[in-house]
Parts: sequence; C-alpha cells; structure tokens
Amino acid sequence: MTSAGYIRNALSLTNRRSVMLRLMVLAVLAFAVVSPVGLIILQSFLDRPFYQDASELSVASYTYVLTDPSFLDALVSSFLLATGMVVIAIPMGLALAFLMTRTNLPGRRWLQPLILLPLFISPLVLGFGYIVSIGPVGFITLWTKSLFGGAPWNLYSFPTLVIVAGLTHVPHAYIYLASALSRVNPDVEEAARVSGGGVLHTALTVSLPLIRPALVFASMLIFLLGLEQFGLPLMLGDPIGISTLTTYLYKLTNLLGTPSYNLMAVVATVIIATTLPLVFLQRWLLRDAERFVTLRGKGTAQRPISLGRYRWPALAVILLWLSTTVLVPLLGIMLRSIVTAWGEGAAFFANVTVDHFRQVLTAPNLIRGIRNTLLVAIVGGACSVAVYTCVAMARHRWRHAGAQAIDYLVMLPRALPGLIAGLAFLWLFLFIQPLSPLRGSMIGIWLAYTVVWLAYGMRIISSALGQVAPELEEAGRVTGASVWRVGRDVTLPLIRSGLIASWLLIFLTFVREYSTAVYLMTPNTEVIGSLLVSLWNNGQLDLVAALCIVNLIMVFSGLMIALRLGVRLHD
Amino acid sequence: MRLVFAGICLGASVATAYAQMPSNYPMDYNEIVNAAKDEGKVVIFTSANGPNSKFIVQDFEALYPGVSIELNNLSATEVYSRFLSQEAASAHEVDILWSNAMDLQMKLVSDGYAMSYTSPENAALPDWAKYQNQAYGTTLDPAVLVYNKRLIDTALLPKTHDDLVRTLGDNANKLTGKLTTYDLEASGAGYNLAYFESKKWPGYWDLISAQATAKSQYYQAGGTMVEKVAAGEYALGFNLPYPYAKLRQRTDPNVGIHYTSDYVLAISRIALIVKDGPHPNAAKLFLDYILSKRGQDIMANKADFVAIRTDVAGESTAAQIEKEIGDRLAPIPVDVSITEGLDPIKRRDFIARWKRIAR
Repeated sequence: MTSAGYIRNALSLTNRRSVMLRLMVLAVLAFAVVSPVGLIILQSFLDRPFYQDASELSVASYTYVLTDPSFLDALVSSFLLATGMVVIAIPMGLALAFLMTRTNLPGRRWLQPLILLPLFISPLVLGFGYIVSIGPVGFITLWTKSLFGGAPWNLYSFPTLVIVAGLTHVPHAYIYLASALSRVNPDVEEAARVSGGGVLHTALTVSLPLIRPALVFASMLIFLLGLEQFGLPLMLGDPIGISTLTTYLYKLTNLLGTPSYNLMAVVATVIIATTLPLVFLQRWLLRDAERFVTLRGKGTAQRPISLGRYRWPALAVILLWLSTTVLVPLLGIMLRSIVTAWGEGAAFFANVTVDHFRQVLTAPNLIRGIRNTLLVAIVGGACSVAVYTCVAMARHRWRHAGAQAIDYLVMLPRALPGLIAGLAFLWLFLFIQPLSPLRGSMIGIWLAYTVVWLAYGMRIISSALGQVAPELEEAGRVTGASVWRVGRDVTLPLIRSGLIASWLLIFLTFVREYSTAVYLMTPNTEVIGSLLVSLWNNGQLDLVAALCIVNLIMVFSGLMIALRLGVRLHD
Repeated sequence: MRLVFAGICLGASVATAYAQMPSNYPMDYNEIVNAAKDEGKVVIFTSANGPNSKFIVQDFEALYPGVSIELNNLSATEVYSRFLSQEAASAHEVDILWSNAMDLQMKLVSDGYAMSYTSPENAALPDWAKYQNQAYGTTLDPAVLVYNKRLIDTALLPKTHDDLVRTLGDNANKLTGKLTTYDLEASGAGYNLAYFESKKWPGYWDLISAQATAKSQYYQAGGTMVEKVAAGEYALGFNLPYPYAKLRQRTDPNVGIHYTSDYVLAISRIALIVKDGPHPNAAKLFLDYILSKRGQDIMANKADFVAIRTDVAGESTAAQIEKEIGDRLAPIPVDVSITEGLDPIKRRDFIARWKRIAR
C-alpha cells in the first residue's frame, strides 16, 4: 500500500460522521430497491396475488413456468436477441467512438447529436416507425416495389429483429466507449505510435485495453437491455409467433384470465437471477479498476489521427447506419402522422391532413400527458441526477462492505422490466400506508423512474467519478477538509460537466420511457409513453403517430437548447 | 348575503335537475342528485377509448353541474386487477367499473363486489343485458369481419362461418398470410369471444385448422388489427370489434365491415357500481345517465360506442345493426355463467388446444 493509502485510511477511520452519512444513503437506497424487488420475489413463491388472504407459499408457479415450452422458447429468443445486440452494437459503437474522438472524421461537430438520436426514441416509436416504413405495406416497401417490382426485406423475422435492435443500440455503447476513450491520455497513444505502431495497431493494443472497464459495462448493459427489450419484440416478433421473456410476461397478464401475478413474478425473478451473475462477473473483471485511472491532475490537448483517404467512406458508413436507424422509421411516422389512410393502393396526397395534430392538442388527457412528460423529464430528471450523485458520492472511495452493497443494490433494478417495476411500486404505494400519498402523483412515477434507471444513471455518474484521480481529493483531505467538504469543493466541480451530461441523458431516458408508468398512470399522471401503449391497443394509430411526433419535437428541442447552451455530451 | 346567494344557486340547480327528470324516475330521485352534488365526483375505471369518451364526460358534467367525472382509462385486465388490489389495501377510491372484459366483470359480481341498484332505466334494457340489478350491459359491439376493399373481392366474403372455413381452404393462395385475428394467449377479449363461439358453433375448431393452413397471424389488440387491415398488411380481420372498425372507416373508406348471415357475436361493455365506493350517489347518477336515452345517444353518435337501447337512432346503434342484419345478433349474455371460461383448467386446456392447432 502506498503512503497516500495509509493517510487515506487513517483519515476515513477518524471521520465517523461521514461513515454515518454514507450508511444513511445506503439504508434509503436499500429500501427503495429491495422493497419492490423483494415484493416480486416474495410474490413468485406464492400461489396467488400476495394481497389475497388465501395465498400460500408454493413453488407451483415455478413448476408451471419452467416446464412451459413457450417459456423456454422465450428464454432462448431473449438470449439470442441480447447476444446478437451485443455482437452488433459493441463493435459498431467502438468504431464510432474511435472515429468521433480520435480522428479527423469530417463533420464530427454536427454528427455528435445525430449519432445519439436512436437513444432518444422509444423502441415503441421505432417499432411503429419500421412497420409503417418498411413493413409489408410500408411507405418505403411500396415505393421500392413500384420501382423495382419487389422489396428484398422481411420486417417480421427474427434476424431482422436482432439487426434492428442491435443497430438502434449502437449509441448506448457509443456513449460509454466515447467518454472512456476521450479520457485516455493521448500521450500514451502517441508514445505507441512514435515507437512505430500503426493507427489500428495502437488502437487495438493500447487504447482498447485501457477502456476495458467501459467495454465490459457497455456490453453488459446492452445485454441487459436486450433481455429487457419489449417494444420491438412486441411489434416485430409477435406477428410471427416469436416471444421474448418480456412479451411472454406480458401475455401472462391474460393467459389465465385473471392476472397471474405469481407467474409474472416468476419470470421477473428468472430475469433477476440471470442478471445477478453478470453483476458478479462485472465486479470480478473490474477487481483492479485503479489501473484504469486515466484522468490525472494534468491534461494534454489531443491531436486527431488522420484517416487519410478513408475519411469520406467512414462518414458514408455512419450516415448509412443513421438513415437505417433514424431516418427510415422517423420518415414513416412523419408520413403516417399526416395521412388518414396508408398502405397498399392508398393515394398519398388525397389523404393528407393535419387533423391528427389538432386532435392531440384538443384532448385534455393528451395535453396533460405532454405536460407531465416534460415535468418528469426536466425537473424529475434533475432530481434523479441529484439522487444518483448522492449515492455515487456515498460510494466514492469508500473501503467498506457498504460500498459493495451499494454496487449490488444499484444493479438490482436493472433486472426488473419497467412494466413489472411499475406494478411493484403500485403495490408498495397501496400497501405501505405512509407511501400512499405517492399513488396517483407524479412524484410516485418519478420515484419509479428513478429506481428503474438507477443502474444507468449511476453508471454515467460513477464513470465520471472513477476518472477523478485520488490524489486530487487526497490533496484536499491532507489539508484538513472533511470527506464531504472534499466532495463538494473538489470532486463535484471536477465532474460538473459529467453531471450536466447525465441530466441530459436522464431527460432523454425519462422522456421516452413507456413501460414503467403503464400501471401507475391515473387521470392526472398520464405520460406520453404510456399513453402510446394504450392508444396503440385501442387502434388509434392516427393519434399514436401524431403523439410520437410531439414527443420527438420535445426531444429535439431539449437537445437544441442543450447544444445552444454549449453542453457537451462528452469531454 | 353570500349564504343567501348560495342558497338561491342550490335551489336553482335543484330545480333544473328536477325539471330534467324523465317521468319514469322516482319522485325522490332529487335526493340522489343532491347527495351526488355533495359527493362532488364519480371515479370510474374503464376500458373505453380515451378521446372519444370525453363526449360522455362533457355531456354528463353539463347535465349535472357540480358532479365531475374522473375517468381512468385502463386496459380491460387492469380494470379488474387494479380494483382488486385497491380493495385488498382497503383503498376504496373507485365507484364504477365499466369494461368490455365481460367475464372479469361478471366474476367481480359473483364475488360480491357489486352494489345492487335498480336503475330507473332498467326497463329499457333487453333481459340478457342485465344481471340481478348489479351488472348492466351498456353497449352492443358486434364482432365483425373487417376487410380491405382494395384487396378482397366482395364475392370472396364468406356468407356464413362454415363458408369462412371453406374460403380459407379453397383460396389458400389468395388468403395465405392475409387473415388476422386475436391471439388467444395474449388477449382476454379474444379468448372470451372464442370460448363462447366454440360453445355456440360446432365448426369452431375446423376454423382454427383452416386459419393455420392459411398461415393466419394473431395479435393481442383489436385496434392494431383494424389498422393493419386498413393498410393492407392483411386483407381480412376476423371477430374484430365494430367500434374500432367504424372509427377507422370514418377516415378510411377503404375499410369494409361484413356480417356473416348465420350469426354475429356481440359483446357488451358492462357497468357496475362498486359496493363500498366513496361516491355511491354520483355513481348511481352516472349509471342511470349512460343507460338513459340522452347518454346512449351521445355514446352512439359522438363517442363511437354502439347504443344498446333500441329507441336510440343513429348509425352505431343496436337498432340500426338489427335493421341491417335482422335478428342474427348473438350477444354474449350479461350473466355469471360466462365466467366458466375463467376456470383455470378449462382455460389452460382450451388455449393449449388452440395453440396446438393454430400455430
């Protein structure tokens, strides 16, 4: 151990108050996370809804689910989907991150926000967009058919589902990888290149190993997002009878007529059980994260690597990917939102109308949905970032079993599909008396969102924290400041840009969230995402398309403001 | 002075309400109206469409100023499960459950959650549409064949259900991958219809085999299927809800609605008053309103429901549909017997059989 390490330990021993504060954060976190997850696990071992007096302990639900061939099919599909997504999204995200942070790729400035677009769009919106653009009778499919006599794709197939899901998750990988790459000290790379390493060789042998933690996190998160995929499999997989864990779970709502919460809970528990080992794996891989500290007290200006003649082809590939993931579905939705009829044989211009938008803007519940969505995404998003920061600071440089506890707690909600988490929160608000005022309030929905996206928010903030070299903080401690003073005056200012970026990312996440609020929605707490689900089920596709556009406008405006204010998503 | 003013207002509103009471309402109905105004609102869980049900809300609130409606739009299953979980938590917050999941509604009735209340509009309803003054059918939504006029030759439309089985077999090429209907695993409404139909029509399982031969595709939501038929992804949709089709037809004349001549299944949105709801009088007022001629008129002509009362005129009314297709409507009765399909074993076996044949 270094001498700085001894000083650090000695100081933290004397600072009991900070330990108390850390423990308090841990306790609140534990309650917010363990109660919904615990309720789900408890429910999975009961033979009927937990609130019924007659419910008894039983493993019958497990027997039912685990021997159901449909469940096993769904399990396999989910794993294939998640694996496929990692295989597609990680290499592409890495290549994109490298091109954007390290090279002289043309147009990086305006590409930056564009690349992140798929992050902002809810899978539900994307799925709908793909159906109306490249579905069997989609706009693009029909145009292609009229031009070439046929269209060579089939939207409703498993490979297409994997490709679409993979391509739309490239930005999720990119976000982590780019911010990790941009923190790699260019001196290290320069040293490699000066010693004769080529661009690619340097990237693979020097840069890549340095961002291994980010790679591991990104892969794991993409995999988990894959297991959690709901909107895309529902829309693209269902017509051909393909279920994933989440769509199987969704079907369970009806399979037995009365809602079979016990069976749903079993599926959720299975998902938790599959993700926990991943958390262990992640921790094991990162057992010596200290080695990866790359942002030291001094920085150097970065010099971009020249791509030479590959500049424009590289840009072309990125634009092709962008058109597939953003332009195609968005074009479909835009066209759908201004016509009354579409598809085979429908004349386009004869059916153009703006009436759908008028309908959206005159329906009180949709107006409230728009207002609430903005509220929970902007104000709620900021509050969530504050919460995540508290937790991250409590965890930060804490050599204690409590820190490990926080790590595991944070990962737990990741395992819960939003739909189920929302249901669990509804139960908590119903059955824990002091929490009952939260039911039917936007605060309740905010709380559920915050817990559901805890792992995601914590990752963004912790990765910023993890890059702050300990000696900067130790300098503060040695001069006599308390842990919390150091946090406030040294660490937080250092990660300020990271926090603003986190707020933006959380805003973009909350604004498109659709499954968590499905069970929490009441007449005053509509949010756009959940309204889309119910409108879709009611077949009001005119409104769905128009509301999607409204949602996209909100996102784009938010992004414009952010760019205007000079907020950079990555340093 | 303010008190006097308030008194005058109260008196005036009582007088208005009184003046509006139809003659078949009991003399003491005003007491319900006044009590409802004291309660101030009625809380409803419904599976009715959002934007269109606003007309009902507006008209009701205009009729009874001082009584507002809090309409919770949920899925049909959610109406049932959210209510039960609230009951379990002793959170008595809802007054009316109004849902087209007929089997779940009747299960709540048979489990004793409904209040007994004889609506003064009782006599206007057909016998099959009410159950022991506890459950009232408020609409009559036929399950229809929805077709895309550009893709289906009207000569190809089946005359009877047996005909549909033959058409799917004969025209395997024309209709392959072109028929869509409910996924019984995913849709409670689809299952309820299917279970009832299998009892009514011996050819039911032949139809399922024919659907499989013709590579039919199955969905969870009726509205989605109507949209996909309208766009031409499918040419024909079987047993889809009339209101969705009608709504789509209004903006897209390419959507056709077809009735078979042997029988046409129909479901009803059942309304019931919750036994220990917080606003019992306002709930009575609302139930009577949606069953009244005025309420039914709004429902049929503004809100895209099919009026169940035969004395209401308009395109979307039971009267009009009967004029078109005669007495071939086979409504699923508002009766506890329809909860049979909820029996876990029966349900599991039925769905398993369906899956084996259909997929």
